[in-house]
Amino acid sequence: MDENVLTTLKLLIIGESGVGKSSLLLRFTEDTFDPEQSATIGVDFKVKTLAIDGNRAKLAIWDTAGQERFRTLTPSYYRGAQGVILEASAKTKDGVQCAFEELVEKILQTPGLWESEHQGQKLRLGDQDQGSGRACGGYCSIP
Amino acid sequence: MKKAYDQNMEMATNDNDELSVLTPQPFGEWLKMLCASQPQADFWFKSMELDLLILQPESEVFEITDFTTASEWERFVSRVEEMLNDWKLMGNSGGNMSPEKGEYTSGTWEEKSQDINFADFKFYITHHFLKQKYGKDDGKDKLEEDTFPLAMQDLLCMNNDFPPRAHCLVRWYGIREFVVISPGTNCEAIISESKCNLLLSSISISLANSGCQVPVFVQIQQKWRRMYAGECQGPGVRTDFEMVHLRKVPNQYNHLSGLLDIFKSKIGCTLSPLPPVNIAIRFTYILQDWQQYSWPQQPPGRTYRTEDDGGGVSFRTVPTDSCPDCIICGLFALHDEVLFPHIAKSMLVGVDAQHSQLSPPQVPHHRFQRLVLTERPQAQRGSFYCYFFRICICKEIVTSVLSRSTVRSGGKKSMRMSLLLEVKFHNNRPESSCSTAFWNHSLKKPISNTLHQASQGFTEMLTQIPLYLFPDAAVEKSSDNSKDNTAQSNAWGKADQDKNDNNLFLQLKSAPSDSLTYRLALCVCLVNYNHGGLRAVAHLWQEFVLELRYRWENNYLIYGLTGGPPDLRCCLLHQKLQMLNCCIERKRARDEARKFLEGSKERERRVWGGCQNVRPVPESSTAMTVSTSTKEVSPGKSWDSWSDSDDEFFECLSDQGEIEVAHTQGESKAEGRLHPYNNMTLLNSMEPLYVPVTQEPAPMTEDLLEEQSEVLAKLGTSAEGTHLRARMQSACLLSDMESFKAANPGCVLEDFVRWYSPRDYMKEEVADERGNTVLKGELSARMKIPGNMWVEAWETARVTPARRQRRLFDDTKEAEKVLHYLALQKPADLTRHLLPCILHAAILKLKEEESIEDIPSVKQSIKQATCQASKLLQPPNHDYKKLECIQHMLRNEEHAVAVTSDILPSFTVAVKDQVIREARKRVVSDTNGRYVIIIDVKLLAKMLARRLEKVLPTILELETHALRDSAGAVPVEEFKKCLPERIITYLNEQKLGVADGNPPVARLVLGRTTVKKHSPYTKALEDRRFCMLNVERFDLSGAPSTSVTCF
Repeated sequence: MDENVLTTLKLLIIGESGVGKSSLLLRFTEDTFDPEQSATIGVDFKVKTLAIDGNRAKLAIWDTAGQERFRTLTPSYYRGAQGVILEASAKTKDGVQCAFEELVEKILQTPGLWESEHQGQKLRLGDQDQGSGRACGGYCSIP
Repeated sequence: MKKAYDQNMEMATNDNDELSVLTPQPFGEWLKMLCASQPQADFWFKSMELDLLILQPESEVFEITDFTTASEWERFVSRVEEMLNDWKLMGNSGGNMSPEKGEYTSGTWEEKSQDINFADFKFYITHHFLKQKYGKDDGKDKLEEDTFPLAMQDLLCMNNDFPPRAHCLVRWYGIREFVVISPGTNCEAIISESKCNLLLSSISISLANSGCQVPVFVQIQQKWRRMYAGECQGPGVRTDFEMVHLRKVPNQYNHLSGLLDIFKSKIGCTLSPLPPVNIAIRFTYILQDWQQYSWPQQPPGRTYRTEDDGGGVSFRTVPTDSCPDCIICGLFALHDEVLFPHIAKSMLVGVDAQHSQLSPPQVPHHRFQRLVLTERPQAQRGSFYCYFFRICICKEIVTSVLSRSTVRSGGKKSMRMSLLLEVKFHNNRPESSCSTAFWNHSLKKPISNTLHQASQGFTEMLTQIPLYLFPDAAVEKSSDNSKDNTAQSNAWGKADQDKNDNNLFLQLKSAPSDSLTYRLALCVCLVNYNHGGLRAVAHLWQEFVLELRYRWENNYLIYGLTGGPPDLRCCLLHQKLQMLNCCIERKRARDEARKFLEGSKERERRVWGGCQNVRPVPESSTAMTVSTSTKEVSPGKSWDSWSDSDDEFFECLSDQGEIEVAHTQGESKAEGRLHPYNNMTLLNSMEPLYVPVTQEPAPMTEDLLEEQSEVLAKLGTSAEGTHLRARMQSACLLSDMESFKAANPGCVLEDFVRWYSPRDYMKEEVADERGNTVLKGELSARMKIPGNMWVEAWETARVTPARRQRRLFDDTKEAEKVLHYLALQKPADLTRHLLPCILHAAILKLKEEESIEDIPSVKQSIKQATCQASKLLQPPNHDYKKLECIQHMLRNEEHAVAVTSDILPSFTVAVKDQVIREARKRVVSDTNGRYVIIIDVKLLAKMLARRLEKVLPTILELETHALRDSAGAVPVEEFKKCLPERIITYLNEQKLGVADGNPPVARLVLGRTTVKKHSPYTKALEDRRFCMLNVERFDLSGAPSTSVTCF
């Protein structure tokens, strides 16, 4: 299976506890939903191989626990990640943007994660797509 | 061949093979090959030009072009041809007179360059040529067909030997016009032989097709090596330019006869009387010790050892102990005087080239070529890194190095070094005072006559190394004041971090300057360079590790490291040291608590009651110290330790529990409370909800993390794997639950969830029967799934406060692991670990020097170098070849700074900057990657005509004299006239430095001959070889010509 794979990318899913990180991952990798999905402990890990224009890319996705206490631990697994998926619940009252930015900043402050030049910089959410009802799509560009 | 370059610097004995490898196949053969593989290719090459000429006006031309230049390679060849065409290099170049004497120096060199691509690999193609004074009289003499190309005539021309400033190819081959193809970007290089051959073949074809007689070269290997291979084609004759580059001069070629041997063997002449070989030699001397002759300025770069406020030696900077430098190149040309007969044995066998009859004073044509000021020939710091790099390559194990050193007689120095080091390290421990005496005693013996030269400074140095590395050891240590020590060391590290605002160490992934790691790097560098090389490094390292072990065993924190878990932004070695420090810290906290307890047991026991808040309560003290010390946001926090290999507890105090029970009877049995949580109360009682003291997660270093995530990833993606992963990681959760239970007697899972994962506790406002809204809460659905991991863990969790739990982080084991890891590092590994720190130090030093001078262009290139270095140092596997380029870049900048600070102390920034820019241009164009800047004094004179002060007049005068002389050299007497008095005294005393064994820094040997190779009737072909022997490199280049028509 690993032959013909062009590249392997490490991705992370980060977000508050209970927003559905593990469910999202499950839906993405296996296209199922588990009503009995229990709260993640530490980190979990799933793999999905995608083919884009015939180029196969393997995504190694690390699912993290959202609890505050775990958030002091999980960052050690952030290292070397090529991408981050931030998940937030639309139910969160205090504004998705705020939560996101705070989170991203937190991530970026995590020492040893990124190249130092990005550290300590203020970030803004770009390209917010607020029109589409309760869902919030957007990406955050790292300068 | 490349392998020989890279791996062993000792010359392989079969140098003949080496020389011949780079020789491209003769063109005829090549063509044959080509025809065999592509039957129509030959035809197309030949016919295409015709077609082009004939079919010019017609449009079908394009089709044809398309067809012939089908492959990348063919396209490249035609591109080269095009370039040659553009520059009008086609056709017969012969006919120009041989250059006048000294024309290479006095004339101006020009160059044109252009980008050219081979597939996606970018090259520069550059045409260098000497601008001829007399107009090109091309129409005048139509020469007979068979003259040699100009380049080949130049090979033998003796009018322009050793031009002081010219492209190295000019110096080697004496050619006045040539084309160079070199890789487009600085860090790219043509390393593989096949690539090189491919390029040479392309050149062959383009030369043959265009009939160009100008030699074309390809630059191979890294730029700074200045390796070129090339070719020149004339009618019926072809010259191959080839060369060998070694880092060390092989013994047999250290003298002239050896060089002659190789020369003759390469001629490959079968005729019995070997033709005479023409030899010209130049030695270059560096005159040192200028201080005695009171040069008007203070010698620069004397930052060798600056006193630190601490009193000890500061190795803050990479040491530079360059002498204020002044080279005088003594040129004595032997070329018309000494003609060696066919076999020169009678005269020169066994004679060392450097101490032969050719001693300078006796040579008739003894002329000073130039006086180059403040070019730092040795570039001390540069060679520091150089040697450092060499260690990186070597792969010996510490012990083997050490054992060897004891066997060898040469090992004496390092033996002593080891003794000294041991003494010093021991010295620093109060306990070992008796042993110190012993060592001191035994020390006196080994200091014998053998190595007394530098022994004074040497010993001094060695005493300072341990002190420098572990400055806290000098302060008398006992367990009483060790606490202050911690604070102090931490504070120190922090302050330093603040000071270092530019974050350089983060970029380079090195360590904070003045951290132990950084200092170690400097020490290793210094010791390696000054005090015995590899063996000394091995010793230093061994002692270092021993010292660390000592500290671990005796609970002394390692000084000069930022507290807290390993900083993953630093280099691995630094992380390891920090890790060790963490272990020591925890171990010490444990031991202290135990001691305190034993002491306090007899004392008043009521402290224990309920007052948790009284600070030095032993109960919480341990846990508190642990948690506070690592309170800063920690990168490496992770909880490993599903390991249950050991039975040690987080704080294993067997008797404490009883005390607890005895004294908390009346009240709650709560233990290990940290603070109340948000005024919440337990669900089942009115007791406030307390956050428990928890175990800190285990600190991790980069490699451990890597390992662990690999383990986790290996479990696979199945549900089973997920479950197993969760189980493995639940140790921390379980520990927290146990602590929570202990802190909150009578609590339920809901309470825990409210603290731990508040979003999993759903609150609802429900109206009760009386209409009042009541807050009702319940666990989220996922927490209520029967048998889920959380519930399971909650049920198994016992009521145990953190300090009586099994330790999540086993400091003993981790410390041993670290120490084991360190002990296994070979000197090569060590240097590799420390490399970022060294580069860091170099950049810092350079910045500091630069800030005094303030030269924008230097600033710019430092920034560039830093950027590049940071890119190269980030990934785990360093590309040492590319890093070496960085080293050369830095070296280059050092030169620039040195030049400005030495020559131009009194000029404005703008002027300095301009000088540097000009100088840099020269570096690029003239020496092509040779990292030496020669200030063009002529240019300076123009620029600064009015501002010459102090030193410059003399130099300028000199230079103008030199320029007036057509040969670019000044006869001794005239030269002396312009020199300041003190230099003349010096010269007289030193006799050019030869008499007292001051060897020349560079020796250039030039050999030339004309051979009738095959039979007396064939045309005489020339061969010129050039050999440069230098302290740091050995170059041997040759240009044999072969007849194409007669094999």
